Amino acid sequence: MSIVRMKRFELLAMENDRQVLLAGLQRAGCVHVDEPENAPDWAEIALLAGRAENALDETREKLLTIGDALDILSKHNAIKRPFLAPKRALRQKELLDPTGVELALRDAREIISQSRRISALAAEEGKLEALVAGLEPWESVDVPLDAPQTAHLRILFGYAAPDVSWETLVSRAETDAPLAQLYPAGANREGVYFLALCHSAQEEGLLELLKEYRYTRLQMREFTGTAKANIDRLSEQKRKNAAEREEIAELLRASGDKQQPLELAFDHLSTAAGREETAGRLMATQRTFTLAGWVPESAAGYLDRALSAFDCAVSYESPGEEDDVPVLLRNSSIIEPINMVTEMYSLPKYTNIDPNPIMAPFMAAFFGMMYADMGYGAVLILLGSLVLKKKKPQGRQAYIWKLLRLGGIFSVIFGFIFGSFFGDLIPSFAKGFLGVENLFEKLFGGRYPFIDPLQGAMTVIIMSLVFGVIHLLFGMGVKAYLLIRDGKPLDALMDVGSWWLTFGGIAALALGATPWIMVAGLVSIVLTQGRHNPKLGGKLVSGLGKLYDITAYLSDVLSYLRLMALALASGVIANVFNILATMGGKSVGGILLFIVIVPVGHAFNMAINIIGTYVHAARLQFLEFFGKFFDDGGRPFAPLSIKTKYVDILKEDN
Amino acid sequence: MDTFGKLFFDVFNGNVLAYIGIALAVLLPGIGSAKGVGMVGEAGSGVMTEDPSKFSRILILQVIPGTQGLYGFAVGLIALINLGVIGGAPTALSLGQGGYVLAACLPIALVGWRSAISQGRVAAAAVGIVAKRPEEMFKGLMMAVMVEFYAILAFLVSMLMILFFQA
Repeated sequence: MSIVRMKRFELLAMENDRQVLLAGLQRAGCVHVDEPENAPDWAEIALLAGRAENALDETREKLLTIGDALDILSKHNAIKRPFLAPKRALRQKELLDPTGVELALRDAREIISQSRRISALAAEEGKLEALVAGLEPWESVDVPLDAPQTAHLRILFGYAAPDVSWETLVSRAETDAPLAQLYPAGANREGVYFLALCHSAQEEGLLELLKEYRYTRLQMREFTGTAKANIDRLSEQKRKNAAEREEIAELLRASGDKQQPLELAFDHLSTAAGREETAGRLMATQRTFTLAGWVPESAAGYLDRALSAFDCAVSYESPGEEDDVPVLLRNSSIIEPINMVTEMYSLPKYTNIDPNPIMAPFMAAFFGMMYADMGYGAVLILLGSLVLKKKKPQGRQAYIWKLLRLGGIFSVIFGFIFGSFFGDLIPSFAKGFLGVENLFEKLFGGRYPFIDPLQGAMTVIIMSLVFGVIHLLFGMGVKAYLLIRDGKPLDALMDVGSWWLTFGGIAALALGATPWIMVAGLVSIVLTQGRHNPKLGGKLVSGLGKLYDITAYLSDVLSYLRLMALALASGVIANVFNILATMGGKSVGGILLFIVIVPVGHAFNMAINIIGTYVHAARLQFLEFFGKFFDDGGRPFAPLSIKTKYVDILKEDN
Repeated sequence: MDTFGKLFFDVFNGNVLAYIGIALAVLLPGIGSAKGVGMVGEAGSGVMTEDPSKFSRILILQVIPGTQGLYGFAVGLIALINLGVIGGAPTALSLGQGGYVLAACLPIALVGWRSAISQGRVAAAAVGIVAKRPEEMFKGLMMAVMVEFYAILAFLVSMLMILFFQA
């Protein structure tokens, strides 16, 4: 329920034990290792740590190899990860066992080379295709492409511009170069293709003439035999290529059995990489190394026992004022998911307070009020429970679903108050299909829903503002608590008390009591809020200036109108879908319309609104609530631990 | 009344004013949403050429500027029902009543239109977050949702004015 208390931890141990010791610390997962401070000479340290760096590079390269192989398998649909299936659960020992890694690496390299072969084949096919396309116009010409020229005979392959007519070409050639003979080949977008046989004496004249028709001469010497024969040969080769490519792709598709060993190896290697990365950050001599970091107070005893097996010196120290202590928040499993909200903003400083437990009821209630619908809430509860049960997500993934479930519970509560179940689905249905108008009115005679958010919009507005005032006063109360805790009760009285007196006075005035309470509050603000100013005049002036903060509080309170706005907006859209769904009336078409529109429309409305609801509920915490007491910028506690992507580690006693 | 005056009031009556309002409420936010959704789609397709697996994240960003169109449609639909156009028996409105309906439609028409485009810009920029740091996508989403709030406010006022309209 709080920020976990940390101890500074220093360790001096033997270099020989390093691997085993780090592996042990990683398994324990409770030590946050700091970069060494005031390192005397980084170059020297890098040199000393050189061994670890090399090992790290090697491990990272292996990780990349296996990651690539997994990507390739997934591209070829060999990998199956059903939506609701949990990750494979393993014992620590199984994860840390290196036996399978070499084999997995060999498989991975094989998969990568197969994939490279596929790319190479595909590239070659492209080239073959281009060659065939180039030969196609010549298919009907049965002169071998490499037909030898003689002393007097010239053979010209080429084409003229596409808009040139064949007849013009022939007639021009007949008159201007009578010793040349043109034979037509095909034509395509590029041009009109033809073969020209010509006496060497008139070659130049012919080329000169053809130039007018934008003639391009082609070199065909690289081929042997006729175009037809070449096309057949190349097509055959392309077909073979494609077959081989398909064969390899089929092999890859069928390599699903390699998925699990590869994933296990990936997690094994990433665990090793984490360890080696830490090793690289240690200061070491030839025989010893030191490690400095942080450990939760509660884990110190356990760590001590674990380290007693090694020749080492350990010291623990309480953090001082100036220490930047890493922050770990520990909460019960109900409040835990709220951590997601806090982490998105920033962790608190170590000396601040864990906002999760104080924020949890507000977060859940605000979410519930904005989502306010029994049907929508029930869907969230079911969905959250289903995913948590079947998929067994860990960490942040689990927080999301737990938070949705929690929000769902409160949505049902507020939905019950507002009388909404998928909007006004029940009265709409009664009206559209049973012909009963105003069902709730007839059933409950105006006593239910307790608050009709549309007819009683004013009530919802007041409700929102009251929630806001409570939230803000509570935030200020937390600040007062922090000041008192840190031994500054006078500051608490002056900074929070003076405002509370003012707000209380305003409330009293509104209820018809004496205005003097409010005046006393205002005076106390003027007298106390400028006290940090060195001069008396300055004290009063800046105290007066602080009165201006009343507008800030006013805008803070008004900001809670978003509770009402989102509640009504999502409800109205839900009602609109119900109107559309019941538009068809009592007929087959009408019922079909209802069956289609109700699930689709409400699913859409739920999805759109859940984002808005979460964001606005979180925003009220970040800006209005945290602004009162929160000290952000805490550094997350990131212990050396086993972090896995594909498998889950079973919790067990070490 | 002269012929011109008669013609003028035949064309320019309360019902016509109301229908213009309804048309605007559906038209403008629809145009804005189409533009916003389009912008995100363009940016998103660029990212997906590199990494198609980001489809679902980008789709979430893409639908965000689409809600204004829905809000405008909802206001228009409820107005059509309230005025009896759906059902085939339109109420005859005075100029004042028609003006009221037109005014009721304006908040969502104008705010919905412009906010959808602004929101589309923010969401399109957030596509960059999905491309480079997908784990931080939610922060981009949050920025985009902030724009939505003003469309919700306008929608609510338009909707309340239409719902509580007594012809």
